[in-house]
Amino acid sequence: MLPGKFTDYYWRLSTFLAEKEVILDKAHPDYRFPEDDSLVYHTRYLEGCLVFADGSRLRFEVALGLDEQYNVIERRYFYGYYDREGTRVLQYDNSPHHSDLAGHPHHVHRGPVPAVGKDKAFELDIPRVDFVAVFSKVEELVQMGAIHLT
Amino acid sequence: MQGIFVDKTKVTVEELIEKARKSQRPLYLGLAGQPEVVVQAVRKELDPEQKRAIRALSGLYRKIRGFEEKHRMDSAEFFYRYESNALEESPTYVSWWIAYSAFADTLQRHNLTRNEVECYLGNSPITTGG
Repeated sequence: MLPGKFTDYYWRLSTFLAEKEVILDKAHPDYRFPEDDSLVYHTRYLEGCLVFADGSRLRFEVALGLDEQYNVIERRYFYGYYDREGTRVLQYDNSPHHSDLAGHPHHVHRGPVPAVGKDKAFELDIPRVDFVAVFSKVEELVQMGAIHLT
Repeated sequence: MQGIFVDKTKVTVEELIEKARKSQRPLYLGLAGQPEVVVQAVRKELDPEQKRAIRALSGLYRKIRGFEEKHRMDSAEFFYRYESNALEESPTYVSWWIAYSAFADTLQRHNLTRNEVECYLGNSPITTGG
């Protein structure tokens, strides 16, 4: 185990997921979570795909950094949640394209990615975005069996 | 190792340095097939930590290179345009934006250049010049 705040972050998520095994399908060939902390240690980057027991998926990609108090923050992130057919349900990201929204640059997209035209963004429906917060939101949807949002 | 012949009347010093860095082959500098000077970039010795960082970067490098080939755009240019809102938001672009930011930050932290990563991983650079 490598030392440091970024590897602590990795192990925190790893432990969190270990406690969620009931709703995850870790044996699925598309399930991906870094096997050890070396990638996060060297690159401060984390990427993967969590497959849930109902066949839905959470794809995530995160570039990490430190805030002024030297806490690990998700500087740039993408969390895309898709139903078992691969249609997007939700997407949280902080790309700087929606300065009109409160909470900019953090925002959420809902529903399928439009084939043409702009992908409308909305203000966040969770207090803050990070791995645990998004996972918890998705977990709620999986448990309700309500992944088809309008 | 085979070199490259460069017409010295058609290249600036800056272009020559860049070409030598990227080609990793000797450049024969002269006129009309008569080389006068041989220019070759010397590879910097990487320390063990830098080598470990490059090995960890290999997946990210493949990823951004895949985006560059697909969209025919250099990642640095993409990043600038995306952050300036000159490109529309899409899941693919968000992924490229995050991957390149992590790649570029890692290079900076480890005092590496993209060219050093490419050389170490055994890939030819994206832009080889004219």
